[in-house]
Amino acid sequence: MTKDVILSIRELDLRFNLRGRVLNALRGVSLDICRGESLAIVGESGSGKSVLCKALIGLTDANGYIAGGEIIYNGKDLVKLKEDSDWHAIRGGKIAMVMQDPMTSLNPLITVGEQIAEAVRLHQGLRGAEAEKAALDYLKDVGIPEPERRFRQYPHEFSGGMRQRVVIAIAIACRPEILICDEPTTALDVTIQAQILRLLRAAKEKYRLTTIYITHDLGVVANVADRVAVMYAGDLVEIGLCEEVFYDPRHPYTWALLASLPRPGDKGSRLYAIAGAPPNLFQEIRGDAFAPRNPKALKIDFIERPPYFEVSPTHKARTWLLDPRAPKAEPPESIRRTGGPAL
Amino acid sequence: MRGEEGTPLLEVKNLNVTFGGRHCKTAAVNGVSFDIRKGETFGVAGESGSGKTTIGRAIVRVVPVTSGEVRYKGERISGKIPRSLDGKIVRAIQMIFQDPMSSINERAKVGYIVSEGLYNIKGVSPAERQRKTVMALTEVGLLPEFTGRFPHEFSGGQRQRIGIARALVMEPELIIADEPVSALDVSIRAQVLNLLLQLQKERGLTYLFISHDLSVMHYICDRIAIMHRGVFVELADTERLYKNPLHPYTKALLSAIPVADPRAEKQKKLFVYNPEIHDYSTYKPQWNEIEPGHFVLAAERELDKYREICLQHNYREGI
Repeated sequence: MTKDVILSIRELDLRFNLRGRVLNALRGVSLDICRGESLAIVGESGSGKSVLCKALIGLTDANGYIAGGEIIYNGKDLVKLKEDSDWHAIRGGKIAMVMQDPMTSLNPLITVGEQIAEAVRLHQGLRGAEAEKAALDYLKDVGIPEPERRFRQYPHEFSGGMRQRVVIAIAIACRPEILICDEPTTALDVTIQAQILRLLRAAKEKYRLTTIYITHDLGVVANVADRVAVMYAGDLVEIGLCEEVFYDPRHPYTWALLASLPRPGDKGSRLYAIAGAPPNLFQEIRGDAFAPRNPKALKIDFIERPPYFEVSPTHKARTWLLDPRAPKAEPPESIRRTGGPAL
Repeated sequence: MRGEEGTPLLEVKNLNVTFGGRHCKTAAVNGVSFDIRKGETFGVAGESGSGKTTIGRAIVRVVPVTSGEVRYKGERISGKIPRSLDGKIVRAIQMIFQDPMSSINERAKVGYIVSEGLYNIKGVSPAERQRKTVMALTEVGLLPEFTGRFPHEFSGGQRQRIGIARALVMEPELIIADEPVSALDVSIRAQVLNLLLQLQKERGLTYLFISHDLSVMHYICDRIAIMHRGVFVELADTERLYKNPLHPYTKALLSAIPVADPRAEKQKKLFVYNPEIHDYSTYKPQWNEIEPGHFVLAAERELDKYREICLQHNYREGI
């Protein structure tokens, strides 16, 4: 993939004020997103993955503020946008988002067709019958049967999977360059999930979108992602191509995540479980945030925060284990066994 | 294989559960039959709205059974039953719920939450109650001093452990686990699954495991029933079901399981289930045992096809 960076996040610090205490939700996140790629951000709940994506479209909650860093899009720093009106040019039109729960992200009082037409009018400048026709085309595009009849129906007449299709249609109708999908299939059944992922992949090709997926489901990641960023305690601990992260993971947290998945053939044996709980983000974190839960942590892990070490030009991880001076550490046996050959 | 011989611990025969009054009747569960053997983990899988949770709730008598019966150790426990039996069943069958955030009383302390069930049993002294609570908490990996704390002080994984301790304190034989790990993160999920397996080994528990996550079920269940719109469509040993699914709905469900392997996932062939491929207008589908322990819902004509597939499969596997 050629390195045509469409969106660049540099050293982003995002904090929340909570009853006089400060929560460090993002601690110096740096990430380049390339045009046309499909990036997945994985992490547990509370790791900051949703906060990161909301910051990209200026939807951080009122008590949150960006304490440092920048988000460069088209040569402009989005962090400097203060007014809501400044954001209107970006949000939706350039960067659109598909939310997790299709039950709550549609307006129950407006017909589905009208909701898509609204996006068409706002972002494509079409009027009247033209806008409706375009909206109908989008409805067809996302694979809704009998689009003419469905166009005049309300969200409650749609099933969960169909509603998510409508939400995707609205997002695409904005003609964005970047589409952020925040847990797009978590609220759906497995069979529907697979269909929605297929639809998102097709839409990405057709409209030449750059897609960012936020998810905690590694199966979804394996399905859709070109590149994977693993997030832990407000920081990206490992970034690499999908194959690199799955078959040759380097960060102990990534190891633990992959090893804790039940795999066929493991029946009855103990799963690898990460001891302890994620760190308290109200406190300053010294060293590697994962160190207290890592049985193989080095002394330096508790003292100094590791920098990114490059494994390959596309693959880097924030762990002292990759330092040439570090002792050799092996990933847990279960992922070595099932992981494919390193690339 | 765990729990092979002896009479079944729980028998469900032709269970029907209907909701709604005269005008809007919905059959949530429609003629479901199965046995659960002592010591095994029996899984019920299906999409949301397929009725899997209703089965669990009907067994613990939270929702009334419309017709059919449930037998526990040979005794009927559905419909009207004597008080003494009811007391016994309440202790023997316990439930673990999906969402640890909403299934626990926010305003009670952990000690009370865990021991609440014991208040209904005559002859349990406060000291005895205390002892049992501490034991249950230790068993799920929590500390005895947690009894004085409130649920909001705990993380999701810890709260699910409290939910499990609450079930364990009654010393049940059968635990109905309704999506016990669906609301948990991957790493926490592994902890809870390990705990469930360990408890099963130590106490000889029997589980009815209700879930939509087929990769977790593959890991934990001995036998799995696949449910679709209120009926079972297939039931078999886990390995056999995953290797040789017969019903098209089972195939569709299995083909959609997300796998954490990019190469496999990107080549995956998705199979979409279309109920119209069955022609049930003249011959109604029956619940058939197609080979020992492998049941499938099919009409007479489909059966021949399925039998053929089974024979071929067994031949390949060298059975």
